[in-house]
Amino acid sequence: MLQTSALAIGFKEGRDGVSTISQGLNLRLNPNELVCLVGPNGVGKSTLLRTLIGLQKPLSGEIRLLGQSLKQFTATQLAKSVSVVLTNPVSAGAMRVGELVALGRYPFTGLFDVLTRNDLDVVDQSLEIVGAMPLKNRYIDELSDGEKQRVMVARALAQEPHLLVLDEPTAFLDLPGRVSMLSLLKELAHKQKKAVLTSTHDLDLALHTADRIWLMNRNGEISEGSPEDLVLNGQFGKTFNQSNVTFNANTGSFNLGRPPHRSIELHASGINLIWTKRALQRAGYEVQPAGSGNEFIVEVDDSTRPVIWRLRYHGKSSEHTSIYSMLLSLESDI
Amino acid sequence: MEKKPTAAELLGNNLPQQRDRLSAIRVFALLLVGLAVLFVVSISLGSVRIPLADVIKILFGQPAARDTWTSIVLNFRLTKALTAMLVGAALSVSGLQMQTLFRNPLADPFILGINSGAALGVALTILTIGATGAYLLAGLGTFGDLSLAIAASMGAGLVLGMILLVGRRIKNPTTLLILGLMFGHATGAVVSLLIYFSIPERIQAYTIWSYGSFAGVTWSQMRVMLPVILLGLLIAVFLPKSLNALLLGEEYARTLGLNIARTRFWVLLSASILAGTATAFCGPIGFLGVAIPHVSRNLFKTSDHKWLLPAVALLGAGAALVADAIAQLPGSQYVLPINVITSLFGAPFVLWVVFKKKRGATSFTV
Repeated sequence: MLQTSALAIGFKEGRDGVSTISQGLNLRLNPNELVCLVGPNGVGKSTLLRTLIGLQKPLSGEIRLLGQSLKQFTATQLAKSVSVVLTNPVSAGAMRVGELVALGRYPFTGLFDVLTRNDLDVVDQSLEIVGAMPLKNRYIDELSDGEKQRVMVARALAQEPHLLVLDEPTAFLDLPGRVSMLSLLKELAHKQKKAVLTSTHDLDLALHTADRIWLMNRNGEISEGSPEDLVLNGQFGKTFNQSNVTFNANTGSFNLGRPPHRSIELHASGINLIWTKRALQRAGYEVQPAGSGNEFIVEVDDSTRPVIWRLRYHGKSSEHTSIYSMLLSLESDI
Repeated sequence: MEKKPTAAELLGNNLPQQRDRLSAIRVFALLLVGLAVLFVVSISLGSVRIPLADVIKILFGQPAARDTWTSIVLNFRLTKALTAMLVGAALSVSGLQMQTLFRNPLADPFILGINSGAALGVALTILTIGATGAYLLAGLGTFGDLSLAIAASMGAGLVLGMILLVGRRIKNPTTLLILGLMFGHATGAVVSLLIYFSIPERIQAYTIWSYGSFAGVTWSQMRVMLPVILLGLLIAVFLPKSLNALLLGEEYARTLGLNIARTRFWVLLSASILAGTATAFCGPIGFLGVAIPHVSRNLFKTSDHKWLLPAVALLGAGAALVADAIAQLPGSQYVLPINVITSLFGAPFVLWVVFKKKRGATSFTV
């Protein structure tokens, strides 16, 4: 679908100055595949996306789309092959959702923009696919951020693209909105046979959803592979680790704060074990299983109602009915 | 496969939009009728009382009760009403194009300094050219002199040329705005300087020009103004599709296959021809250009330029006729400057429209 060879991206500065963001990129996008582009802020993800969709010229190297060099595409041909969802806000309040999506037919209509039956059908199908058909007659400024983003995806689909490129489509959405946006993108890749490339800061979601990940580090190098490959070969940790954030390869999530500085023994089972362990880890403890011989012990007694957290150390013992109070006591005594 | 849908199919696409379209068509019909009525009313108003029946007779080429009436209606009032409609439509269309091109609700036809250029031309003519000064002053009562229009056209044309030339190289439309603004300030300074060293009579003549008037256009001037404004409107007819795409912002528009540079050229050309011609013949008439697009968006509840273009043209023509009628102070011998009327009566009206219906206010959220 799309291939780059020895692609260099960046900006031309002044007369002959060049600031290169990334070079030697040999990337590939396939149909039926959702690729998430992730990386720390400011590494040039947007520049890469903008270059791939022709909004910005590459410094050197080549981009081939559908077997043809990107340079050979006319603007209209390109618009019929690639469509985008950008971070730019769309500010036309007196426009209805249906009209906005119909703008996606721009490359197909004539000088006076008369929509054919086919154009109208494509608009409806696009709205249907993203589940925004009920919104068709609403005005854009009445929509929530999540609805607006879906409509923007529908607008992009109305261009009937082979490749759909999105720049941080989840940025302003709440958690359920993020999840449903990414699963929508996955559906577009797998059911509509599109190649979908999206940049995102939701690493957790990307790890769970993406078919492939492009991981861009601070030097502009891109490692690619399935999410699991990148976790196992340590690229994920290397790219994102900072002084106060560490990537936990066991859980696939990021741990905040300092590494554990004390240890504690936890006697519990089931769901109480899971959440008490999380709480202790959050407070900076390394949690050990029962029988480790640690002098600090937390026991969870779930035979009673309410559940009791019992704290034992130095021969003293205290009982708590919540994790919160147990942690407070632990902090104040040590 | 690509067969055109019938009108019924288009209308029947879904119900609420069908209602929208029908009500839009109804509003358009109403606007046309209203415009015709305003046109006749405007012609029947003036310092000389002419009965409506005679006005209509004269318009249909029949003899009126008095020959002087025929002359007044055909040579003065008819040209004035036509001028008002043309200029009102021209400024409103130009304002709509500028607001969309710059995605700025405050943009108006003069935002790039077209009026400053015209003002400079006129100021140079009135304030410095002594030889024709006396003649100018004599003719200024009715703005009968074509030399003012020529001077203003040259000034406006100069600015237009500069904008088109520079606009090709400038990527960011905001830069273009700043350029226009700075040019306006510089020209304003030159005009101030000319005024400072001029004599009171000439200053007054310049001030009168700057108030704007529809009354100065004669049939011979109309022969120049009409085709040029029609040319500007003709270009505008081909632009709604591109302007709609621009509502998404320039980057989205580019990914839709829109050629930004070419679109900008034609929009600027059309808008500048319209605003420049209007200013050249009638002085800098404010307010219509910024207000009418907002009123139209509210009235038709749409951002679609296919609807907005005819809407602003009709509304602009109507508003100019109303402003002119009020300026006549019916029943009195006085005629007020048109700019005073457009702003004094227009500003509260637009505020009312914007506050009453929220949508127009957010048709651009910049």
